[in-house]
Amino acid sequence: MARPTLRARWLVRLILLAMTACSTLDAGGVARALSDKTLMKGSRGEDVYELQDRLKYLGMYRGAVDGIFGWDTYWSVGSFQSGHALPVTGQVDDATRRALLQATRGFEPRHHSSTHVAGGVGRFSANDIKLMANAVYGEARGEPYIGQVAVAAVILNRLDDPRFPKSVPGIIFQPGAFTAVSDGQIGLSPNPQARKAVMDAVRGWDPTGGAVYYFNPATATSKWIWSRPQIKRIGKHIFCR
Amino acid sequence: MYRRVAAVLTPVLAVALVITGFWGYREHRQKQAVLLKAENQYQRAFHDLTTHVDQLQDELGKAMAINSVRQQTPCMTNIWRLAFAAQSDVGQLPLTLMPFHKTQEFLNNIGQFSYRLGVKDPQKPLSSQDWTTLKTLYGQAARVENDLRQVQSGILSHNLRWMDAEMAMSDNQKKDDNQIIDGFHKLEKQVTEFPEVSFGPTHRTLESRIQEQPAQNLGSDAPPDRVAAKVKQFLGLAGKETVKVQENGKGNPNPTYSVTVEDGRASHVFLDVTKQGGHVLWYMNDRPVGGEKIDLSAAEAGARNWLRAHGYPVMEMIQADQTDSVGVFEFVPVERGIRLYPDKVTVKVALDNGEVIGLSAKDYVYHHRPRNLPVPSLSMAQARQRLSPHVTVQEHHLALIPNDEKQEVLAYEFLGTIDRDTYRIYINARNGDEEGVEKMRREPPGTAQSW
Repeated sequence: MARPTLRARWLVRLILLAMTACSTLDAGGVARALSDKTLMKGSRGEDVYELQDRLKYLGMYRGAVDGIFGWDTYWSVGSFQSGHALPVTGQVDDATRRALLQATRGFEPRHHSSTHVAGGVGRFSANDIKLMANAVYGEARGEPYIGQVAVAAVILNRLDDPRFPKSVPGIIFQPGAFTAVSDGQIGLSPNPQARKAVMDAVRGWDPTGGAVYYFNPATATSKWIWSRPQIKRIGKHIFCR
Repeated sequence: MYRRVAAVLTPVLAVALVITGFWGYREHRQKQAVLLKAENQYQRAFHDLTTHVDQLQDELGKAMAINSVRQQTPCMTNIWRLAFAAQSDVGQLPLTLMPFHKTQEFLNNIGQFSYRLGVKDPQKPLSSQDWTTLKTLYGQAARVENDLRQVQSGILSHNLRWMDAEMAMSDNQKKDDNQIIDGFHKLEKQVTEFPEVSFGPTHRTLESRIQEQPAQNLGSDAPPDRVAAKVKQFLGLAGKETVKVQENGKGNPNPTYSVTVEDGRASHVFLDVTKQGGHVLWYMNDRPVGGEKIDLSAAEAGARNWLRAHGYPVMEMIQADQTDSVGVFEFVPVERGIRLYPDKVTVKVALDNGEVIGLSAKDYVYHHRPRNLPVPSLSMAQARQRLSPHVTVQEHHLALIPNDEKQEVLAYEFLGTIDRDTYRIYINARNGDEEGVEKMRREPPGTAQSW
């Protein structure tokens, strides 16, 4: 492409300036400005990317621009609010959004490719959750959704039980513990449903009522597993402790 | 004719045979090499286990003769470390399909006991009860060590393979004797027969999210039809749906019902309800959720209204989180300005229409009760003095929290930061002890997954 002449460059600058002015006048009209959703700690997605970008533009945010409204973002929204005489709520409501758009007039929103962001939850990292989703998919992909949550819950129940290894990978890769590991099905990439099931289990849902074992009565070879006190049957699996 | 064909084919087939044979041999060799690698991993984990239990037993013996905190702390910490290492070794052996629980519990108990005496609360001289426990553990560890040694010498003198043990375990029809399995069975039986040991007042036995004991009487037994009626009311059902109530097995120490709701098609509404009192432990509706139409903050308001409408007390939202178009909120009841953390409930809201599609209320059902809440002896400012000077306090609350010994204590909760890290710090509001410090996990850059 030919180098733009001096005049052409001036023209571009003029147009840009005009566009910025427009966006200041009517912030809601610009295609990629923050939507009118109230953002709070725990929000995820496109608006959070832009919020983080804008706070970074102001030098008020030092964390990663990852689309996850976490503690970093929360504190910097708070300090933005106290700096602009707004009530410090840590939430991006209408007043805060207007003040932020006003303060970041010169900012050009960037495009972020991924809108579905999956970070860690609580004490579990994103990779722990991915690994559990692999295990759930390998072990129970033909099962009803509730049965998949149940398999994830068994992994978590083992984590809190002193008789089992003390980490998610330790439990999943304990020799002989899961058939999906023994036959390599753990390597299959999980579907979104398996991941959803893991998230539900991580957030406290336990359809098994505290089980640490499950087995398929049609294929179980170990006699010992039948001696465990049973809790309930979900789909093809019997859950016991 | 045949002879001519044969004359051509024979050498071809012979060559093919040689090639196939050679290929087969190579495959076999490679398979053997892989199996050997796995076998060696098992061997190493097992020999590590015997070494660690050996050292553990020695240290327990040593601890009996120590009479100063200066010596006791490193010795107990060592026991704690060795018990942990031994448990980790067990986790690498293919023992999942056989009973080996008592031995793992035994190791865990030693770990907890030594943690208390070495790290949490070191004191010399040991109380006579602790010393007796120590002596008993020393004797019991010797017997565990002895059993492991016997298996070990069997393995070494007969070249026993863990692979064979693993095969024998998964294949019950075969009635082969396997020395490894027999040895571990014997060990487990031995530990099962150990008499109960008192681990002292602060010991937590089998602490887990599994053996949750209700803190209060949940009420009289609810018959299934009353549970069905209650669930219909809870979900606001019109009446066309079938509610199936099934009593769960004895595996759960607190008897429960499983409830499913069917509306002609496949069921997607599930609940667990306690048998005593008929309280909803959790509810889940796994209907597909469409695109995000309402924001998290509107969903929070909806969850709050839903809780009020379902008879829960005044609650404060302590944590929100969003996955795709589902919002998840944690609430705790607030009484006299005190957050009751043991009574947490979690509510799931679909962001397509704001419907509550999940509730997890086990903690609430088992713990919420009328309490005599203590009054703080320290002021907030006094408690703040107890914090590390490096922490910048951002928020503070009064909270009832479970401490390490699972007792409920009143504490000031401080949310503070050091550089970019966020911490939750609890200072006992009665005596100023630092009850707990929690660092909020931050995802390292680049590990957030999008899929």
